[in-house]
Parts: sequence; C-alpha cells; structure tokens
Amino acid sequence: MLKKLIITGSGIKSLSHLTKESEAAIEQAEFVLYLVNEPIMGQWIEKKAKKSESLDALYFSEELRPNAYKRIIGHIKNSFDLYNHVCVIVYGHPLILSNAIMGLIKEIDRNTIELSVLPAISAFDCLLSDLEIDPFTGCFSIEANEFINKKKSIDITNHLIIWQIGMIEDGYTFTKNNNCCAIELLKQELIVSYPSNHECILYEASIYPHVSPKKIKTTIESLDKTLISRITTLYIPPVLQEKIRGKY
Amino acid sequence: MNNMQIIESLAKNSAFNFIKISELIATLKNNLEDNHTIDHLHIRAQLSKSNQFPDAQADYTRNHPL
Repeated sequence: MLKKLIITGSGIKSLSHLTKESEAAIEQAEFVLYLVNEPIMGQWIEKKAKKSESLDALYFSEELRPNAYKRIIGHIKNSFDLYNHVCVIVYGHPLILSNAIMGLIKEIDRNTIELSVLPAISAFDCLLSDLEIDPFTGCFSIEANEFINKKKSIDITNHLIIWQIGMIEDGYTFTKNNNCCAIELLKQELIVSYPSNHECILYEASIYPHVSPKKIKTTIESLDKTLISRITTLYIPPVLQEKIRGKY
Repeated sequence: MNNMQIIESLAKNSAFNFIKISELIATLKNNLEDNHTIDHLHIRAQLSKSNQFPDAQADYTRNHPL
C-alpha cells in the first residue's frame, strides 16, 4: 500500500486563513512537519496534530538557503521511514515562492508515496484583496531576482507585482537588511519603462486577523528612500493608455 | 485568555462584530504589556507595522533602532 504525503499551506493571516481541508490533514496525519510565519500558528499545530515537529531549526541551520532546503527535503523524505501518513504545512500557498517544497515534489518517489498538494491563501491573494486589484485585466507578477537577472520585458499597461524586493542579490542567504544598491538597480531598471514620478505601493500583508496590512504609497524615483523589509512587495499600477499617448 | 485563544477568537469574528474585536484587541494589547515570550515579541513587531497600533510602533522602534 502506498504511503501518503499531503502538502498544504497555512495561508498568511495566522489561524484565519487555514482551510477546513488543511485542518483535517493536520489532525489526521500521523506526523506533521511545519514551517510557518508566526508562533501562534505553530502552537496551534502542536496542539491539534498527533505528532508534530517544526522545520525552523533546519531552515536556519545553514548559511546558504539552498543547503537548508536540501536538509529539509531529506528530513521530510526520511520521516517516511517511521510514518505512513505525513502532512507538511508551510505558510502561504505551498507552491508559491517555496523552493524547498518544489524540490521535495521533484524528489518524491511516486511508486511508494501518493502525493496531494492542497491549495492555500498566498500573499498574492492578500495583495489582490488589500489593493483591490483584478489581475485578469492584465498582470505580471515576478520575484525580484528573476526580474533583475533575467531582464524580463514589461508591459506598462499591466499591473506589475515584484516580490521580495528586500532580497535582491541576496536570494541565497538569511541576511537581515535590505540592500540599498540593489534597490537602486531595481529603480534604474523600472525607470527605463515607467515615468519616474509614477506612483507605486510598498506592501506587506497582515499576518494577524483584524490588523491592517502595511501599504506605503511612494513613487518609483523615491523607492530607495523608503525602508524596505525582506517581506516587502512592490506593486506598480498600470500606466493609463492616455498617458502613454501623451508620452506621460 | 492567552494569545493563541485571542488570535483564534479574532479569526472567528468578522469585521461586523467590531465590539467583540475591539475587546479582543484590547486584551491582546494587555497581554503584550505583561508578557516577554518569543510570541510576544513577534506579535508586537507585526502589530507595529499597522497604524492601528501606534504604541507598538514606538516600542518596536525603541528596541530595533534603524
């Protein structure tokens, strides 16, 4: 009989984003491994699961994140030596900006383990609601290092969402502070396409229910003058067609 | 109520129930005043990002100089 692995997400906003199916997976698994974004969620999992373990220690065990991801993947795979039904829960959506989970999915032996990935609320979903955006009118959403390194072309009539701008040129370590030079690089990249006084929003989703998200209005030229954390996202609204015709 | 019970209760109340939410937030703030565990520091740091909690902002800035 196949062993079973359920991978799910806890959402962003602590207990309020947890779905019924994720809750059931946590309660019914023999073993739950979790990597969540705030301590109350972790305490809740400890209380509800039959047996659980935080992946925090492994996540912070290596200076370079790819090495930490390898250790996490190895640990999850090894848990099947002891348990038949394992649930892995990470914050946000399990497959969004989650290298460890994507790596795990590639390495799972499908001949011995049956895998289910459950959907969950991501920071992207929070941003759409908090900024009142419909992405299907045209939206480009990308991680900051991907945007800078792969020189992605932009259509300025779309919504543009750039994730983890506090981690540019630092995709591999746990460095605490944002890199001001990297923000300057991002700014220069954006000014090629956008008017420098174009408004944008620095956004951070709220991780507790009934607490407001962080939304700071600024302009592209002022990006390097604002404090940016490692979880800040940059949202740039579309440039209106009339402005393009009038050359800004 | 401990912090987990408060967050659980906040999660179960919608914005329509604003009186209950205000009470819960006030209890949470009280807990944070007296409690110095890791979850206290984490919650306080998060609340400091919200304009709803100017006190937390001042406290966080004092403890985490830029």
